[in-house]
Formats: sequence, C-alpha cells, structure tokens
Amino acid sequence: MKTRTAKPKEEKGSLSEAERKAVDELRDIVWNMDSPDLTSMYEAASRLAMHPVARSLLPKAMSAFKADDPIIRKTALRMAGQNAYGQYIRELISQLKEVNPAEREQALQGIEEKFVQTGGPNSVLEQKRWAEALQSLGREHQPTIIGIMAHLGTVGTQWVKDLVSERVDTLSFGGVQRLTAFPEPTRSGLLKMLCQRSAEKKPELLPYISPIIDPKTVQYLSPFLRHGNWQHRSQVAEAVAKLGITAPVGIVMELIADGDWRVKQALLDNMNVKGSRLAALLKVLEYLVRDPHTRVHGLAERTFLRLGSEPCRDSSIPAQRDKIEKQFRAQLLEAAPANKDIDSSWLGVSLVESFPIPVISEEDESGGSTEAPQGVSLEDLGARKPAIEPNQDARLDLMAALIRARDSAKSPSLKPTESSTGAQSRSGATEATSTAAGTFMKLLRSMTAVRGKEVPVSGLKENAISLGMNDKEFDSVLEQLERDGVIYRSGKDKVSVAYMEP
Amino acid sequence: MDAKRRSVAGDKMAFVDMVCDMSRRGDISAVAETFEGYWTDKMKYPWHTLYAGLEKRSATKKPDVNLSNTLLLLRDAVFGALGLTSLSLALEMSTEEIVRRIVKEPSWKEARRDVRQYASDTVSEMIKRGEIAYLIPSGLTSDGLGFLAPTLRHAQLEEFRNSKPKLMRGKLDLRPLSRCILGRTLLRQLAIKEDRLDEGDPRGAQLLETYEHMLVDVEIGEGAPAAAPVDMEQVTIGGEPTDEGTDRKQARVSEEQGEGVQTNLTEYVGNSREDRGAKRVPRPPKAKPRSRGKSHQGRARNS
Repeated sequence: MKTRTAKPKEEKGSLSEAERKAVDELRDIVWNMDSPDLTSMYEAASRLAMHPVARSLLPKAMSAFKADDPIIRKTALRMAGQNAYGQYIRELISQLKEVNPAEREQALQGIEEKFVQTGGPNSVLEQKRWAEALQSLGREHQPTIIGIMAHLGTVGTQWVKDLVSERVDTLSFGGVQRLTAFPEPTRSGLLKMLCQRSAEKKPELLPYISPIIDPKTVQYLSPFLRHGNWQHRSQVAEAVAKLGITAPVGIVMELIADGDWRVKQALLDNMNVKGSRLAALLKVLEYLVRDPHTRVHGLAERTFLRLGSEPCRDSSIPAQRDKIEKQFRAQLLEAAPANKDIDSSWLGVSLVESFPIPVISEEDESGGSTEAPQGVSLEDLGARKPAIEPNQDARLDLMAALIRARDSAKSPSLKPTESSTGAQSRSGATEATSTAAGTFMKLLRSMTAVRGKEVPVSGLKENAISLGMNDKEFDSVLEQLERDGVIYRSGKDKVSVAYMEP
Repeated sequence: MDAKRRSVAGDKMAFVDMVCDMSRRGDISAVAETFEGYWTDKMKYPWHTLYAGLEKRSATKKPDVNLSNTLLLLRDAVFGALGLTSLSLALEMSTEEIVRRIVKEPSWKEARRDVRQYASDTVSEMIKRGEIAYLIPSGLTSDGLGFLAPTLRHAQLEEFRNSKPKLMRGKLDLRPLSRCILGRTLLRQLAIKEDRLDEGDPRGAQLLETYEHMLVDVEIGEGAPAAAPVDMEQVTIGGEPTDEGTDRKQARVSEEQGEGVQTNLTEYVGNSREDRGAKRVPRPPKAKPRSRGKSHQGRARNS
C-alpha cells in the first residue's frame, strides 16, 4: 500500500482521521465477536446491535448466523434485518425461514422499528426486493409485514391493497389493526375497501375495524348495515355512537331507520354525549323517543335525562337544560323515576320513593270502614222505592189491569156478572181514573166483555166521546196503546185487547 | 458573492444530507442512481466536491459524533453502491480516495468496474501478505468476489497451521492462536481466556488435541460445523437397497368411517328413513300404519 503515498495527506487529515477512527471502532467490534473470552464476545455483540451506523458490519452479522451461541445468532439476525439491502435481503430471508417463528417475528419487528425510525427505502427497486422477500413469509407474521409494507412506498401500498380487496378472507385480525401504520389518505382508502369487502365476505372483522374508525371514516361502515345481521348492525351502531353524533345524516339516519330494536338500543346505550353536537343529538333522540319499542324509547328518554347533566361538545349544561326542559318535559318526567342513577333534581320534581311491594297498614285490616264494599240482598231491592216517572206509573197500572183482564177472561164464570167486571173495571178504574189511557182501556174491556173479542172502533169512539174524551185524545190514546202493544187491530176497524198467555 | 458561495455550499450540504439519508434507509440503489446522475448533472450530484465541502464545514467545528456518523454513512453508501460492503472494514483506503477514483472515470459503469477491479487486486494482495483479519469468506462471496474466497480460506488455514501453540519457557504460548480467526474460535470453544498456559495444565493437552482435530477438519472440509450426515441406505440381506418410500404406508390416525351396511329392516312410509341409512337402532317390526296419528299411540316402545 506504499504506492498510495503520492497523494498529499495533510489536507484531508482531519476527515480521514475521523473516518479512520470510526472505522477502527467497527473493526474492533468485528474482532471481538470472535474473541475467546465470552464476556468480550457478548459485549461486542451488543455493540454490534446498538451501533447507529452499522451497515459495514452486515457481512460479519450474516456470517454469525451460523455461530454456536444462540444469543449471538439472535442478535446477529436482528441486526442483519435492520441493515440488509440489495442482494443481502435474499440471504436474510432464507435465514429467517430457518429460524423458529418467534425469533422470526422479533427480527421482523426489528425491521419495522428501523423503518419507522429512518423511513423505508425510496427507490422502487429496493422496495420491490423487500416486498417480494416479505411475501414469501408465513401468514402468522401478517400484522408486522403489513406494518413494514406501510414504509415501502407504492409497492407496499399496492400489495396491501391487493390483500384487502382480493384476499380479505386471509386477512388476520391483527392485520386489521396494523392498517393504521399507513399515512392518512391511503389509510382511508384502505379502510373503505376493507369495509366493503369484509361486509361481503368476512364480517367477523367488524369488531377489529371498529376501534380504528374515526369520525371522518365512520360512514365507511355502511356496507355492514346492508349486508349484516342484527349483531353486526348493533356493533356498527355501537361504534357510531361511541364516536358521538355530529350531524344527523348518513349512517346515523340509517341506524335510526333500522328495523331491529336491538340496533337502536345499541346506538342509545353507548351514546357518547360529550362528543356529540347538541342539535344533532336532539334530532336523533326526537325520532327515537317515538319508537314503539319500550326499550328504545325508554333509552331515548334516559338520554334526554343525561343531557341535563352531561354537556355536549358545543354547548353548556344550563343551555342544554333550558332547551330540553321546554321541548321534552314529558319525556324527562317519565325518565326521571325510571333512571334513578342519573341526577334529575334540576327538573324540580321530587320523586316519590315507591316500594315495589305495597305496604298494608294495620287499621285497614281490622273492622270495616264505610268504604268497604257490602253485599246486596233482595231486601235492599224491595225496600227501596225510587221515584219513578209518570210513564212508568201508567205502565205499571196497565200491567196490573192487563193481568186482571186476563184473569177475568180465563174464568168465564165471572163474565155474566157484569157488575163484578164492572166492579173490577171500576176497581181497575179507581187505580187509573186520572189517565185517558186508563179510561180507554176500561171502556174497551167492558165492550169486549159485551161484544166479544173484536170491538169496532166506531162504537168505541162513540162511547169514549160520551165519557168525555174528545176525538183527538181518542186517536192519540189508540195509537199509543197500539204502539205499546196493549191493543191491536184485529180487523178492519176493529181493535182487541192483547191478552198475555200465562 | 458570499451569498452565492454560501448557497452553493448549502446545496452541497443538502446533497450530503440526502446521501446520508439514503444510506440510513438502506436505499443503496438510490445512491447508485446519484452516481449515475453525476455524469449527467454535476451540479445536482456534486460527488467531486463533496468531501472538500465536508472538510471545510468540519474545519471550524470540533469532530463530533455527527461527523463520524456522517463519514460512516458515506462510506457505507459508496461501498454499497459499488457492491463491496464486505471490504469497507478491510480496506485501508478512505472513502474520499475511492470517490476520487470513481469521478475520474468517464461513466458509472466503467467506474464501478474499474474500482471493483482495483479493490479485488488490493484484497488479493492483502491475502497474500496475510492481512486477513477483517475479511470474511461469505461476505466476499455475496459481494461477487467469490473467486477470492477459496484463497482466503486457504490463507486462514495457513495462519491456523502456523499458529500451533509452542512451549516457550515452560508455558504454552497461545498468542499466535488468539490472533487468527480459527484459533480464536478454538479457544472460545474450549473456554480458554489466557494467553499462556502452564505446562502441567490439563487444558494444554486438550487444546493441542483439539487443535489437531480442527486442523484436519478444516483441511478436509468447510470447517468446524460439519454437514449433516447423509441418511444411510438400508440394505437387505440380499444386498439390494430397500426403498423406504414404498415399504411403509403412513398409518391412518383415524379409521375411515365405513358406510352403513345394515339395510332397513322394515319399509317405512317415509323416504327419509332410507336415506339416513342404517345408523339407526333397528326398531321392532310394526304393522304398516294406516294413519300416522294412531300408529304412534299403538306402538309398544322398547327403549
């Protein structure tokens, strides 16, 4: 190497000196990795792992894959993962495949750490090398691999997009969470695609998607509402509610319109009042409080009550109380006794402490009070003489008269004695002399006794006029009695008394 | 004028930072691209003045960790772009000299070829002289200098052979061993840390014995870790080798569920009985039911 002295060294003294010093340090590490003394070997290994710029040590680390000591092997593998590039990547991956999965996972996590720290490679060739190498590893490392792909630029993003859109059934639960490793515009696109595909093919991913949703991406959950059963829809409702309601549009309205009460219950149960806007929340609750299902409108009322003590995002408690007291007082009053755990004293209504089991006090048990119900007997019926109307009076009289007439017709021996009938009719008359109808009937009966069943109306009329009834009265009485069914027209211009058969 | 110079200097520093960033990320192919770009646009990729600028910047400040890191990153970048990472610790040349060699050439392709040629010549000379402390055979192979690997291994073996422990003043001198790679591996395996062993020490004899064995091993094959033994072929009495594959079938873990062979004892009204086969417990023969409702009542069941 003496020929090199032709170049003057004084100019670059400081730089090459500094470089030499740094390189010597690395050489020291390499030399001590083979040391007979175990302590210095381990120390060198730890320095190997922790040196900030250690790419020159990469060949040494790769040769240490075959070392006897397992600690050295592990350290070398991790370090090589963090420093591999170009043609070394293939060697690294083949070594990774020979190692057990736990160590492989650790090495991959080391690679991801490094990429997070320094950023991934920017050149497409390098990205392709890494992507190809990582694809050949097993699915148990999928979450970490997705995390690494996030740093591999377009190539990595494309791979993950393919994974989500075409092979979503192979996406593991941990992998869903690692999609957050992607920067913002890519992340939303991936989430949207993921929601669409997994709603169709793998809805079990929903509980893992919900935690990575934020208010901007919550509308991407709507495919689950179209394709899912009530369990999935209520999970979506839970996720939406936990983020708070800022506008009564889109997915919130779809959830309100859902047919299943359990979905609405999930929406109300998990309502994040602090994260919602007051106007939007009130609108939502307005709909839900009219829901026919008890639980749903009960929970809606409960949420109204909560609004009295939990402030929304854009308002304060007094303003809220003001507003809901005016509009929703009925619901609040209903909710207050049902939800004792929420403070409702601001309503100004005192709640009665009612026990579920009614208490029967001593005095009610012994002796009857005036309110106690009493049995009714026939005596009560007979003893009472309520005031009855004149109509009824007439009817009773008529009934009595009818019965007597019947009896008299039954026993013909009574017939020849007109006087007796007359007496009877007179006795009947004494009961009903005041009424025109009574007179008429008396007359009719007497004529029936004389002439037979059918009595001509004209004769009856003559006699009635002689008795003092005028024409009009006669007609009205005739009509009335006919209507009542006491007499009937038995022929042309003939009337008869209607006998009641016993 | 000053402002222009400062801006140019600033650009150079930006370039240095860019290369360092690439090196940190492991984006060595991007470094190679900047080298390629040097011949098209020297202003954009000022490799030729990079080190001068760095020197100027560092002249004012004290050399610190940042400087040494930057220098190392640049070294990694340049050697990586050339595909000679394994030589970055072995070669005594500073990166600046390498870069100077590169920029003299008319194009990147030729530069790469020439510098690699120069490096391999240097390495082979080093091997001849025995300066093999920081050279690794597998590293040379990955860097495309695989033709030097056997020479290197041979040199390592020679060194090992020449460092046999000798008795000196009543002690076994182990220093030569501890200076060669294979020797150090041997010492580590035997857990001997000392430079010298007393004559009567039992480890001395063990060491010598193991040394001989190891020497033979390395001479014959690849080195200390032996290859896995080949599966021995079984031979029958008749002298013919048995074929392992055809003899044994893998015993099934679970026996196959055979089809039900039992036929229906009775013909039942419904077809479903036939389909389900004979996995059912045979029922006592019953009269053909006329109406379903009554038959259930009349049957005597034995459970």
